[in-house]
Amino acid sequence: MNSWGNDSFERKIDELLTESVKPGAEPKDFSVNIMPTRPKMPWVLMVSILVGAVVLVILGSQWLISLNLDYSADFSYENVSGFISEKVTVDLVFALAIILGVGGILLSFFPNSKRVLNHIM
Amino acid sequence: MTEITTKLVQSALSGNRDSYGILVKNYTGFVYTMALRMTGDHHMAEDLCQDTFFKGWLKLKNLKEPAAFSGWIATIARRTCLNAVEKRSRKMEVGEEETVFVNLSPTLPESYDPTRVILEEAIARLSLRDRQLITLCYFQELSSTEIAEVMEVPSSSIRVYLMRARKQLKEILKERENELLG
Repeated sequence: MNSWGNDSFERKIDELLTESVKPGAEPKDFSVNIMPTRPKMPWVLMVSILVGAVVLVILGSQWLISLNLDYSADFSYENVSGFISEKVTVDLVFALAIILGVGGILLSFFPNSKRVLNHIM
Repeated sequence: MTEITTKLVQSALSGNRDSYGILVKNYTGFVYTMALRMTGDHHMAEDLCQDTFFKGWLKLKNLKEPAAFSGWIATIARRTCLNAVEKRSRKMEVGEEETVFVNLSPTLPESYDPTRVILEEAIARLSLRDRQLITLCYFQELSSTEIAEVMEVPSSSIRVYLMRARKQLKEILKERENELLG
């Protein structure tokens, strides 16, 4: 069905049409990228992560109860901000902001950065 | 080719992405050409080609017969392109949208050799149906029954449509016969 070549001209058209749908008929600089798949998470792993998280939450809450903390006083605005300002200086915040900014700029130059981000999401 | 394709599809169905990658490589030429002829825009054709294979990967588990992969991917490609063509024609002015269906002025990749450019420019002057038909009929892996299924027309009509399309294409190319044969 896919040839009618009665004369040299028709044969040439046949040949060109056949070539035009063969592998490699696409432009030279074009290739299809299949999207990366998310990592597979078998159900056994998922269940163990869930059980682990539940156990940690129970143990953590028991530990917090055993401390007998006065939450409203210990986590008051003054206490928390005082604690942070003791540990974190302005220089450290600036240094972190610069590191994050430079890191972000560098990452945007990587050709696969968007793909990596999609993969993580 | 069909036997290899079947094996690759079976392997891809079991989750082997590399096998699907080989299938993609083997079918990119066909799918890209189909998209180019339906849209007349090589940038759009690249995007639609990408979309087709991505949809294919997502829907692969629905493919019941691995041997039917060629017709199946051709159907996805055709529907993806038709949707894009219809969407584009809705954005056009009244009268202008007719150029989507007949007498396209295609933008072609720079890497195409002059004979391919002549061929694509001539095909662009055919109707949308004939452009699809010519592409599908010259893809060696499809039978006339499969082509009819992809095109959603009776199998008996394919030969008649193809004969007319070839005749028209020959008439268009006649003007540039010397360039093609030279």
